[in-house]
Amino acid sequence: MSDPDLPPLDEDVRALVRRAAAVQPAPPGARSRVLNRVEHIVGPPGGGGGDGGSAGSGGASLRTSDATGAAKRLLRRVLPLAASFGLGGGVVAIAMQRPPEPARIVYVDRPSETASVAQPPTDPNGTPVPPSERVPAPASSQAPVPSAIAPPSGRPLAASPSRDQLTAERQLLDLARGALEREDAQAALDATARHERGYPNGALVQEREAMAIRALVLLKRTTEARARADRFRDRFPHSLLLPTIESNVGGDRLP
Amino acid sequence: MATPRAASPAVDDSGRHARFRTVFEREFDYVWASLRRLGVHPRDLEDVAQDVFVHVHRRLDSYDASRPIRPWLFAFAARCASDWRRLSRHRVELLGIDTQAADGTPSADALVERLQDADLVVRALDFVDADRRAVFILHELDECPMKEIAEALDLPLFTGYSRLRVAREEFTAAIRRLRPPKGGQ
Repeated sequence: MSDPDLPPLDEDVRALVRRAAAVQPAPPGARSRVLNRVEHIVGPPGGGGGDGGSAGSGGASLRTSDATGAAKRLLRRVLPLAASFGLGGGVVAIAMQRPPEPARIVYVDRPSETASVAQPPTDPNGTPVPPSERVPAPASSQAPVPSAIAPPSGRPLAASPSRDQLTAERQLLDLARGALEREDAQAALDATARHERGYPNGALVQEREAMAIRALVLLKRTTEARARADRFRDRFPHSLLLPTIESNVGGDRLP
Repeated sequence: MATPRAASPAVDDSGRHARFRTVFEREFDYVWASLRRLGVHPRDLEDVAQDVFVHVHRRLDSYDASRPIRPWLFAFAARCASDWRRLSRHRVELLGIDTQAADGTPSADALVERLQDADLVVRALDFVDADRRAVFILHELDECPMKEIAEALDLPLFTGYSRLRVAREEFTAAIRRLRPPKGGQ
């Protein structure tokens, strides 16, 4: 910081400012509440999915369309069979009048790879992660079934399991972040490994990779760091974290 | 919504939302802390933080990823805090940090001392004019170079330095008022 011709702060004031410069964490719960409110305003992402962790509403609408189409296709196949077995048009008519499954939308962030609340997360080999290595889910996640309501606005009124998963992921990565701030690189790497076992394709995978790479650099494991950074770049070529990662592994650009 | 850039696979809705979530997760605490430093009352922080991130979401395509993101985010925070301040009822309150216990890292004494320092700084910042306060926070607390500050806040470089100079005087005077020098009565 070069301040041409500016009188500097007095030493004691400067020291005070330095001590107060660290960003204090927001109160618990504020982050998720604000995120929910923002996403309610800006609307769901168009395509759902994405390793950066897009919210699930967009994905849910796509899945609803799929469900509608599948139900219609099924009905088209069942209809002639039902008629031929004398079940009569009444049953079919009732089935046709009842809106197929789209009235019950299950909001999830990712349909495939993420672990649900009911099923414990597994590692890449499918082995369940021991409970001791998982972050306890918030109280709201104790509900045995995911939210299946379809509010008029088309968005969930209650917290969906994906929110809980995001919270659990964030708690794990907060451990890594805190360890990095303490320059405890091994603890940070351990925390990212736990996240990777529990959520190999979680919503915060980019965050995890960035912190893992940083930890590897701090541990002087530069070859691993660079390899991991290369994989990150291949996987997320447009990531906002890429410049930071490239800077961490020592170079403007990865080779 | 924001003006989209030319065709790029990263700027479709889902890609943008994913990027937004990354930014949100990474920088929420920073935005929160900045809003407090900018004088937003704790009871209104969630509302104003929501405004900030709605703007961020809509303008994310305009962010240049080759530049540091915090000054860019701070500009949104400063504008939203300014909007918040326009409500006259907010002007007279002397703000402080609610001393919620953070994560149990250092000793309790050290934590209390750190919170007290942060509280004192926030209260002193309230005596600094709002425009100058933004420059001061970015420069002194976030250690942002003046060139970045000028670009983020859309200021001429000279104006940035001028505001910093006066802000330092105002801030120091406030600190002296709020906390007498050690050894004094």
